[in-house]
Amino acid sequence: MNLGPDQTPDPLNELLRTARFPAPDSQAADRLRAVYTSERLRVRRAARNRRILIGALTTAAAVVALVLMVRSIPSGGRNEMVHTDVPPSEPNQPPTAPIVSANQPSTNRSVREPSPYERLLVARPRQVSAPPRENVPPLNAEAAELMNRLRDPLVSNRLDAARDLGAFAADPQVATRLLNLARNDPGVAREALAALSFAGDAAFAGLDSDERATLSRRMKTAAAVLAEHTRKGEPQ
Amino acid sequence: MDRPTLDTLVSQLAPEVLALCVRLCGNVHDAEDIAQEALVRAARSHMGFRGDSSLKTWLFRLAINAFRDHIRRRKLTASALDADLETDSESPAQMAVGRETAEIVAHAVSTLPRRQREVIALTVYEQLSTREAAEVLGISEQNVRTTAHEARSTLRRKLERLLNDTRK
Repeated sequence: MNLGPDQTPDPLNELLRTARFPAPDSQAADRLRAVYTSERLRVRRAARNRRILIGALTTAAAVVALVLMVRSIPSGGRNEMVHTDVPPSEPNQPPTAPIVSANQPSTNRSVREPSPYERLLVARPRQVSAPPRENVPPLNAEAAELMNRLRDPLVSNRLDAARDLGAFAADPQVATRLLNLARNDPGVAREALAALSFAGDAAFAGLDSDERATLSRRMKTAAAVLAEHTRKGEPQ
Repeated sequence: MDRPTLDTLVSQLAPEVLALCVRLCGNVHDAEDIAQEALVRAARSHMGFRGDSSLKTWLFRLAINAFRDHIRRRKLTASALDADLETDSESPAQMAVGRETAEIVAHAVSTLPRRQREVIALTVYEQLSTREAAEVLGISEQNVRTTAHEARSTLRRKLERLLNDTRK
């Protein structure tokens, strides 16, 4: 027994040795051990559940990352393995993504067989972000000529072409083409919108309300530009 | 130290933790509650034992913390315990008539102010060194020595009659 710092015999130390504290019953220590053991089991179970949860989350994150990686691979890599159909596009139209047909018979397939990873790419074709291309029937000759003038960069004043094209803008075929130009070709978007302003409801066919509102606003601006242009062009 | 070994050692030290709690509280029921709380904390924070101190020191520290929390919860402040002792109508000599000396001494220890009780329980009964007691209590070694000195003075005063009888 530690007798204190001075280590000299002290009656107090003798007296303290004789102290008799209340004695716990014989089962008390066993109860304490049982409490400790059950708590340890509970903590261990909780830790295991936490590990399982973390593992599941990690796996899910890895799967999501893999899917994003697969979707972000450019479609050009897949064209080497499979036959592609590239639809003809009009001048000044944005390039349309090739349509990948995985089940088409391979007439010009390359000599090597695709790897499982490449098969996975083919099995899950990437969504292209370009707008869907409408199947537009051919225009009549005069409208086609005006449309060419509108898109021709050498034409000095395309607003004239836009004004003349306004006479045809109610035609759904013309309206569809003008709409595509307004969406995709910043170089002639203003002229296309100005021409579309003559189209009335035909200009908004197939548009959702947001795009309709946006387009309507832009059309008003373009129509004002065209009106100003027309006013200046009139003989004084 | 691997976890199964740690669990075994903690189980082996459980009676010592209980004994310390009995000396701190002075009654078995509270002592068992405090010891259980200390062991539950040990089970939850066993990763917190890094082996810097001995396992016994670590467990005692948990027990001391549980004891302090218990006092805080039950509002059994040291001053209240002192007041109980001071208002005790029996002098140690009178108490000795009906009670054994061993119980009187235990009562005197269990009614010391909290910090003094902790120091006496650790250094006298658990035989920890001053350094180990300081580690358990989270105070300096000098503070342990000073508190031990104060505790012994208090005990001498409380047990004066018995000490005089012993000298005779």
